Amino acid sequence: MNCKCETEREGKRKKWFIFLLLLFLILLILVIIRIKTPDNLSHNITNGIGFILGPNTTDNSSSDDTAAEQENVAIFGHGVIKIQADEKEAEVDFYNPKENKGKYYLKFELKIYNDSIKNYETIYTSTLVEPGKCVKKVMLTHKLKKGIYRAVVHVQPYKMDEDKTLTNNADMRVKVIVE
Amino acid sequence: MKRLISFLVCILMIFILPKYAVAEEEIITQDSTDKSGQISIDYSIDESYTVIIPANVTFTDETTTVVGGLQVSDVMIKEGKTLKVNVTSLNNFKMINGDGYINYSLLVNSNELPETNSCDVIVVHAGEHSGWAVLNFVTELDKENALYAGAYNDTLTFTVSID
Repeated sequence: MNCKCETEREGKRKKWFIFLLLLFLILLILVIIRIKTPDNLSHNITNGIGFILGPNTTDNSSSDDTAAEQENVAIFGHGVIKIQADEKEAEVDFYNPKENKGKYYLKFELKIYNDSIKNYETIYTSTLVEPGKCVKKVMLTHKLKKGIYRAVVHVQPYKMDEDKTLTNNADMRVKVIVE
Repeated sequence: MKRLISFLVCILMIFILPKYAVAEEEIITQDSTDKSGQISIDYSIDESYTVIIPANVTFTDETTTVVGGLQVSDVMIKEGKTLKVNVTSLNNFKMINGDGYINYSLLVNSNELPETNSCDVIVVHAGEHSGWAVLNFVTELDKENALYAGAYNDTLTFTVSID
């Protein structure tokens, strides 16, 4: 009798053990999925690419890239940019759409209207951003105080040719909310 | 062993929980006077758009009219707002080389621009998601003021604003 009870208890213990083990494995799989899934799937992140337009810049792009005949350039814009007060590091979303692949780099400048000088002052300039990539974290030239600022994101496309020829450009008026 | 697994399960659940939103609870019992409940569902869409501008316009002796397009798509703006695309010429619609220049003109949807170097080309109201304009660049290649050999250039800036 005692032996039967002991066997039943052992059986129950085994079932519990298997149940907990399965639960653990399921949770482990969920954790792995969570770690492998990036929070922003929309674009790749970069702080710009590895060269800046200048006299010493070398171009390693293939001749196929420069042979493109596309005459239009796509530019993505926002209505509002939110920035943390009193911090030089800011999160933005300066994106060069995939439609510009093989044709145009984009360079972004964030200009804030400064009441004291009655003009726009540039607080961030990117390097050339490749198509399909975006700039997420930037370092501003100075910290901003809380408030709502008039601002412009100036977007200058560059042809992906040897001379990095400038094209027509765009000014995207935005509201910068510093909070 | 059971305790160890339970502990590990608890740790894993702590990792997983932040991924999912938790709805605020409202408990309705038999004694509640109002037996109906409400939940609020919130989702916010940022204002955004894509503008496609003509990158280059090249005139030749044979090509004195170039047709280009300007387009805004995926427009999401707040109710009551309007998205406008304005075009401005750096040299007042002159291609310049030093102090020499060649005039050209820009027709928007076959209409001549007002006597300014700036004009609203596309207007998109809230609720509409796209807009476009046909741009005709025309020059008579009048070389009377073209003083030098070489390239003559102008740059257009397309300004997008939401008001």
